[in-house]
Amino acid sequence: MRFVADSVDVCVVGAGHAGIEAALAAARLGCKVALLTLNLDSVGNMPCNPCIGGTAKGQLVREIDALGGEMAKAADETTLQFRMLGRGKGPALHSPRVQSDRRRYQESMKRRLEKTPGLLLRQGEVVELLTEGGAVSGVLLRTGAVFLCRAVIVACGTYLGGKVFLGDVSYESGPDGLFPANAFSESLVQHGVRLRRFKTGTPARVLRQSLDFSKMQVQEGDPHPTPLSFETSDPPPNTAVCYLTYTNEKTHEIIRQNLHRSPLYGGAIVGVGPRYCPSIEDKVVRFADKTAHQIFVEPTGANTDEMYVQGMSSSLPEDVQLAMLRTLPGFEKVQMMRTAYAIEYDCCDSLDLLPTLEFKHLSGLYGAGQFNGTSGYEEAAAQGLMAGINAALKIKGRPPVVLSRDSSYIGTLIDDLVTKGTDEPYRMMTSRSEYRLLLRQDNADERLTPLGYELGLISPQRYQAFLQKQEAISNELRRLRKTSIPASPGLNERLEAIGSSPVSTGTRLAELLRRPHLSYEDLAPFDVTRPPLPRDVCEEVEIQIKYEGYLARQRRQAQEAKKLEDRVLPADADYLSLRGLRIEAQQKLQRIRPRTVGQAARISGVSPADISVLLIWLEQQGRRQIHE
Amino acid sequence: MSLSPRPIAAISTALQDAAIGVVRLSGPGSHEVALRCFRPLSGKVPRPRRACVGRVFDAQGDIDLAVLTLWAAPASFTGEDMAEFSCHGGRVVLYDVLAALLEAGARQAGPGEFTRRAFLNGKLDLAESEAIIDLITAGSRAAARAALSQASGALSQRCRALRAGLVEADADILAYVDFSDEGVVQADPAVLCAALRKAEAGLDALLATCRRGRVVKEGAPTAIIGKPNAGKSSLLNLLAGSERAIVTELPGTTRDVVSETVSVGGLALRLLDTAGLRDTADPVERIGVQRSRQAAAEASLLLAVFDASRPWDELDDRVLSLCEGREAIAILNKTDLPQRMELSALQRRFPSPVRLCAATGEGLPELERRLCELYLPAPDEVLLTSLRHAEAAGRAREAVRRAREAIEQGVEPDIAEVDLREAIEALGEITGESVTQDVIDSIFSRFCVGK
Repeated sequence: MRFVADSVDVCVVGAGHAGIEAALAAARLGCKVALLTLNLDSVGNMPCNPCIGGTAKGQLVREIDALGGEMAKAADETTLQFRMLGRGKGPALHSPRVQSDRRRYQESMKRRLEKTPGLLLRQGEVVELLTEGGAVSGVLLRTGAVFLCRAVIVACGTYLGGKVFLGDVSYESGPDGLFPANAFSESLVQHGVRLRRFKTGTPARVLRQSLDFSKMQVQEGDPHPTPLSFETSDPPPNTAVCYLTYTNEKTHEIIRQNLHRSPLYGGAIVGVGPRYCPSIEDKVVRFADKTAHQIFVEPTGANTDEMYVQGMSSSLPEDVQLAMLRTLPGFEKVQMMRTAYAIEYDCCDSLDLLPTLEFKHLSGLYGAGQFNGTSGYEEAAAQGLMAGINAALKIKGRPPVVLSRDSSYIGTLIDDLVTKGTDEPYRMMTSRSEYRLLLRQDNADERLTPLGYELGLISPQRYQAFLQKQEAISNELRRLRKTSIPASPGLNERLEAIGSSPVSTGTRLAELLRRPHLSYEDLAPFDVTRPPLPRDVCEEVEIQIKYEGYLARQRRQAQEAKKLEDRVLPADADYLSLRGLRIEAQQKLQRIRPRTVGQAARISGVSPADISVLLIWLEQQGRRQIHE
Repeated sequence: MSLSPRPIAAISTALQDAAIGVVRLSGPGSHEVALRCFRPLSGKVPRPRRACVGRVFDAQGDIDLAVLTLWAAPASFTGEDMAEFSCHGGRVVLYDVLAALLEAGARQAGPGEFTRRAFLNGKLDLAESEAIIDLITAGSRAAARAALSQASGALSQRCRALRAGLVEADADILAYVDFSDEGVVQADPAVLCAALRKAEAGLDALLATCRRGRVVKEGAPTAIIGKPNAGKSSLLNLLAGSERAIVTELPGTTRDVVSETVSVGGLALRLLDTAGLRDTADPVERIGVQRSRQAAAEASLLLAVFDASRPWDELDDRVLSLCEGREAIAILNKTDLPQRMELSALQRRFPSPVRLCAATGEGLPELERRLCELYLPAPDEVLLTSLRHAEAAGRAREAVRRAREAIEQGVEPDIAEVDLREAIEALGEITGESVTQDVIDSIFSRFCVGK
């Protein structure tokens, strides 16, 4: 029997990485929130690699944190190993990555949720979306409990219509052997949500004691870890190492002989999988000339001996999996604890979403995470945060927040999703951003913390600390641009050592710093007036001077793009009747309904001439209104 | 859409051989760009709204004596800073002035861009704006047509090949950027630089074809010369396929310079009919004759028509002398009539004149063949036919150079990639391709990456 269990502002369906950030953000913005999950023991689960960050993802985590999200803090609290990827590359590519203790991460997140005022964490399966007058009005649980609400954020990951594949074995299931959510798909479809099938996969987990690490390379963490969160003061220590081993011809031979038993190659899986996260059988088929693929062996927790085998994602039958694992150096006597599997699930078409992540056709319904067609915990958390913020702002009658592409990877991710759509699970990469040099992990706070503070997600104390840091940076920049140091034998010796031409007169510090291979640290002995500064300030100053020209160029490009971003298109525009547009452009614009002319210009199939027509039409609209 | 902040420039009078032609600049920086190419005779810096006489020049030297007028925003046609050069009308001069301005930092304006800016800055009314939409759509239709033509199809192909080379280099850098953790190794800077050098050479070769390409695209200005009633107008009509000029049996019926752009064997010719070359007492026709001489002097190609049915005379000698030192093709017309011409004088200059019957079209394929030999690119040669394309290719070339030099100086490849991407974008403006997806596709097809 149906009964009203509670009346809230926002219901979040799913307590994974997207749902957590969505629920926390909405609650912190003053909404009453119900966070509903199939299983309270799987809150914040990492069903694939227990790792937070990595290339482009590390930048996302820093941005989530700069805006007042939670992911970085939980990762800092549960770090097993920290590495800064991309050292030796340009600063845009420095990407923090944390190997995390999976169970402790879940506990940490669950505790954070429990302690948040206004947030109700509830176990229960959502089976129906309730609407009234064309807007969301609540959700129904399998038990008959109804949660009335004004916004629903769908963040159900791979659980929606989940189906697991392992060779010729397949069964309905969520990840990690948890229940799937089967009923909810039908309700969404009835409410006009277009669903499609994507797939992803995960490798086996193996028992630590069954491995011979003497045959693998040890991969240590960074000697000086840095926290993921701008608010964590003490860097987490490294307490574990990872290992590296390789596949070989024997592994590949076993895979090739058993390809016909793969559901992917046999045609049982219809979902589209990601190209960048291919199964080992995909890699062997597509890159037949490669004789070895690297395999990382990583811990999943301090209190467990389960090890994650990165690079061996597979949907081959269990007996084949075991045979191929045993060909890896150090894996001769391996004991598998969980098999690898592929999972297929329902997700929406992200082109049906507004840049606020609300569905265009149904007021109050939002999507976030894998449900929107992405892959990855960080991508999910980023969307959850923005969906939570926007749902709360709408309920509070405040204007929405849409992050621009030049402000963040978060903005780039969401813009890509709602403007270009995706035909495979979308993973963030630095190459997806045209403003990579501006969107660095070190300056995420500069880009987003003022907004987080304005929204009410950043505390006044944290904001004060942020302002102090910014002031220290600009003071030091000014000093480096003003201060000259004299030519000296010591300095010239140093310059020649790095293959740089010596100086004969006094030279400004900023000018010296611009030389390739000469670091801020290198200049310390000659820079006698340098004040003591925190490490993050030094880093920021060095980057801003060293790459000044490139940064200025990217900023200029962003400014130019902004002119089109500032021109807002009316939500009710009828593009099909707009004279002068080509038919393809008319149809694309009508379907995607871009928010700004800038967004329209990024839609494939909309030409510069079409954009000119849009601009003129907009101008006409404006003038007619003034006239009337 | 190009988002460059540079001022826009274009020839804004019709491309005919008029007395005065105007080249315009609009947008912030117009004045600076204009003054980079202009030396006032007075030696004083021009002030807005004052006409100033001086020399327009480029790296090769002076181009023209012209009048420059500057306007300061918002009191101008577009509402922005503007500069206007009034030059001597020849199209070659106008193109050279435009090219000098592009070199000095302007970019070629898009179709209707001046008008669009004027509109957006509140300088035009609604009715006028309707016309602009037509203009823009017409522009894109023309561009679409141009894309289908053989020459620019080949251009597109060449640019695509160059672009593909750059996309590959870019993917090499970006694969390492995103997937070094998954076993992708850093591209060797030396290999990268070699690839970029190759692209630079390719772009240089392409840019070198720019001037010749313009002739193909815009049409070589061609004068048909010959004594009265030799069949010049008939030839024009044959080539144009229409009764464009008035053709009569009476000598001296063509009084105006009639111009027609025709396609002969795939080559565009802008034909200037001439009003006969004999001295005349008729004042109206005299003007026509003067204009014809001028047209013949300005044309880059002469089609000299001789009447084979009449004996060689001194008027034919004068036609022949006009061909002295010029690109010219001799046409022996009226081959259907009894042949009365003694050919030795003609054949000293033109050993094998084209035999043609302008009335029936017999001999036309031979004329087409000769024209093609003169002007059309060899099948594997590609020409940059539009200034806009040349400008984009020039930008691409500069960006590739910057990227290569940065890598050579030890800047991290992922930083230099910013320039590389700019080059790919610039070439994409010619081929109509977008950057991001291509690079990502290239990474996935060439590198084995993933968990």
